[in-house]
Amino acid sequence: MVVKVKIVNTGFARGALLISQQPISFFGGVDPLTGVIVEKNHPLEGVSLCRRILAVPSSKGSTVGSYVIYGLAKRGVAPSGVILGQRDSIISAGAILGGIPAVIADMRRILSSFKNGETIILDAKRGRILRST
Amino acid sequence: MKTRVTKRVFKRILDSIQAGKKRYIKISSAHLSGISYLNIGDAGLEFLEDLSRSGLKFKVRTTINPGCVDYNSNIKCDSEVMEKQERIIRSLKNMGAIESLTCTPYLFDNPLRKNQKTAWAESSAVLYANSIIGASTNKEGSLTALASAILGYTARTGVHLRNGKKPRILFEYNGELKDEVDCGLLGYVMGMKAGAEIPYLRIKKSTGNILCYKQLLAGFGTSGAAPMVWIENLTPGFLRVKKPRRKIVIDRTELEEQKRILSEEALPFQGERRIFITGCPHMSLEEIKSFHETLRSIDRLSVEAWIFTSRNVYSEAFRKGLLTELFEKGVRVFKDSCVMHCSLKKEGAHVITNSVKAAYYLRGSFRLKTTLKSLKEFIKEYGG
Repeated sequence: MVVKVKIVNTGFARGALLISQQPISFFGGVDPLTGVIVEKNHPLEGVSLCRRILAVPSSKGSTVGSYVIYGLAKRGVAPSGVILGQRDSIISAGAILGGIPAVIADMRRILSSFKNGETIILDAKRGRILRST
Repeated sequence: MKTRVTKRVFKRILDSIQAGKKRYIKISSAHLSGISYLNIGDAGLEFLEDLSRSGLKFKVRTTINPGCVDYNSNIKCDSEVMEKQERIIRSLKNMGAIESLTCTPYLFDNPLRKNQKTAWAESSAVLYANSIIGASTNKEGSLTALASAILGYTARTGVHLRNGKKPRILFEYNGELKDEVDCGLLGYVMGMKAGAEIPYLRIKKSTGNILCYKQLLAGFGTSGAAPMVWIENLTPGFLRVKKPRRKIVIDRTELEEQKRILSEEALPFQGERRIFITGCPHMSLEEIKSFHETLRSIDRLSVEAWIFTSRNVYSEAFRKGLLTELFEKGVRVFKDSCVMHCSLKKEGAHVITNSVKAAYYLRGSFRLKTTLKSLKEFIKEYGG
């Protein structure tokens, strides 16, 4: 199974897929020191983004979110890769600053091709996602 | 460490906002937003300090938005906020930024000419630069403006494209614009209707007053995403631009409706702390003169008045003796700070302001009560 994607920030990542159905606010919604989602009533409240490959429709909230992603990467608790459902300047800039591979994909394709939690490879050099063997 | 910030990282940020072929355009200046510690917090401070240590410098003339502190004022803030705000400013100065600390850089610190290409953040300054001066800048985000300042070029998108400034909607306003609050409200309503599209504005009873347009554009930048407004009889080149066929007539009642939404319904109660705030965007020398003139008619004010301006305008006004008279009447004059001042957040005060933009943010971000009133209305009601 290979899904084609658009490259936002080049690189490779391998990790467990974490699917967020809801947008994420990195500023205020994620603990900047640990990478755990802390937004009240978010479907992923309490879940850590650390070393996961995060699939998220988009960001929401403050543009300061980019700086938060940078800080997570610096502390080694950021997602190891990001799959976006649409163009998103906050997460894209954060991923670029933090050196995190990032792509834009058709979210329905991702949901129908991979299971939440399974290990995948994000190839943000050639623009594709595949199941890890 | 893989998070080391290099020039290439900033080029990628400019690439990430462009679909398809990546193109760039040289700029002659930059203006940065995201300066206030209350806005960017520890995450932003950490990033800017890392960046400053990386040794990268700004390639073009770069000015910065206001912070949240006036270090010479008697109104102090938490020592932590004051210290961290200072570190943010120091980091940017290390990279070569001019310590302008104002949202009106076009007045003194970063003057623009017609057709000049720039990369400015701060929506009200972007709208002013394109619509009044005839320069070209997109509505940059904090990070794309920072990237452009470092690289000396920006993404060739939006207004930098061949037809990038073409107006798509014609707004017609036939009602009255009796003061600066009406002007701000008209801009605010236009922004809600225009979304990302550039409008052409025709006002039947044109006031021709630049201060009115300053408020109109700040209001437009608050609710809309477009980087400019073509203003009939004002924007350079308005005669040559093709007028859009799609026309929307804006009615005065729409302005009044927004005014109600941005104002408290109940009148301020007895004993409630009320502060009049003006200077969003920062006051020009002309505005301070006219405020000073209006205040002459009264002996004192029954509520506090806080006015905000840039350090350059402050010095100029001080030299002309305008400020001493303001001080005598109890007016506080702040420089270097946005109206989103560090002490205001905790005050729980009821803010009376003539700025639609200030009302929107003080209400939304600081959770303060707000009431919109023009300078004249304010003096009439609270002057004695």
